[in-house]
Amino acid sequence: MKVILNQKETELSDGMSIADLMKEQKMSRAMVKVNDVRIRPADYEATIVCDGDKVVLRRVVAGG
Amino acid sequence: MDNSNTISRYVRQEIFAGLGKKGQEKIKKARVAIIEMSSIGAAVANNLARAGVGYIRLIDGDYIETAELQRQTIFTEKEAEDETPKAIAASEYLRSVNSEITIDPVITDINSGTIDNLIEDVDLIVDATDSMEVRLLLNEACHHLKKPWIYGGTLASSGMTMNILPGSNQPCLKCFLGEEEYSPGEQPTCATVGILNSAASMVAALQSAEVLKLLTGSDAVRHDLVSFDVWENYFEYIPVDKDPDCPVCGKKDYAFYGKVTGSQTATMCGKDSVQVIPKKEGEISFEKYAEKLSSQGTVKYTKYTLDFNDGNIEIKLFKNGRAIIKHVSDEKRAKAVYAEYIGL
Repeated sequence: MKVILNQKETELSDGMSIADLMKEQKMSRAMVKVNDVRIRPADYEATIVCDGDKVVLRRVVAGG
Repeated sequence: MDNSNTISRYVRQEIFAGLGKKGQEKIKKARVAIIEMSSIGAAVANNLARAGVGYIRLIDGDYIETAELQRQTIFTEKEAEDETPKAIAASEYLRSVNSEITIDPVITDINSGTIDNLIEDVDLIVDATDSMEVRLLLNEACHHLKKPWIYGGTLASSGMTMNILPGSNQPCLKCFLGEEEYSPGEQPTCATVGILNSAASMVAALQSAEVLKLLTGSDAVRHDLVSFDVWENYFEYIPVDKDPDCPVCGKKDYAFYGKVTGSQTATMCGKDSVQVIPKKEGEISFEKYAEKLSSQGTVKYTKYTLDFNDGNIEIKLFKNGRAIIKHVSDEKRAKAVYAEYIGL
């Protein structure tokens, strides 16, 4: 399936959850929005990404 | 500086509808602490001093290095050469910018033993640390003391910032970090992926505006998290919910605040150095240490720091007994060096 991940068209495996996507992106912490709706950490496993979704994954920035 | 019969230096802020003269008076009476004189912190300090914030505490335990001049915009080559403590260099610069306000430099490490004294008498805290552990401690301390603070982080070309307002229905930092434990070394740092000064300046600009809003009680205070990247060309607002099960603002189960244990060590971001903090901090005599160490290597000291170098070991010792052991990445090794040369 194709999604818009951080503003770029990206090919992902079907049935991927946000938790799977974060693992693939090597992100342990992130701010997540799917189709402009914020996804809470407790819902990462249960939220399945669908074809055409607009997904925003932003790493929490720690530097000063 | 005598300002009698002259136009107020803040006239351009006073005619700004969001502030006005009343707002400027509130800014003048306000007390703000800035956590670390980093690329963000130095820029925020500059903005707030020029804006007329009446009291600004500059907290930093580090010294200036040449590789930081690219982004830490108020420091000079001479200060890097002299390895001047950042809090001192910043205070000298800011006093030359605005002699009407109080600048209070504090050279110290920020940990569970020092945090209360650093923030309990200010109205607002600006986070500009490069340490997630310090940030998590600040989140807990501010929750306990009910102090508003402004999270700000930058890395490479990206940045994030958010107002954290304890006692409100707003989330705390831990609400959006989730339950995941912080593990030092797991995240990229400015030493591994670099940093653009424009990204840091942007975080500082956003934080500085929120400081003025919060100090003046503006209803324009932002509640969403801001995430941006000056290279990838995005700027997003991300709404964040309060987590009812949050260990900090939900359960007051603090992981850092109030947990003082023995001597501590910490690797320093991008410095190939380890900081060692003795269990008991207190003012030490540089004369005594110079005498003790001079037979083993080169010793020089100023009012603020003592430098020791024996050609192999390099130590920068601060007045409160804290030390930075240079060219060491192993914390146990740093602690052993401290014990051998300074004494734990």
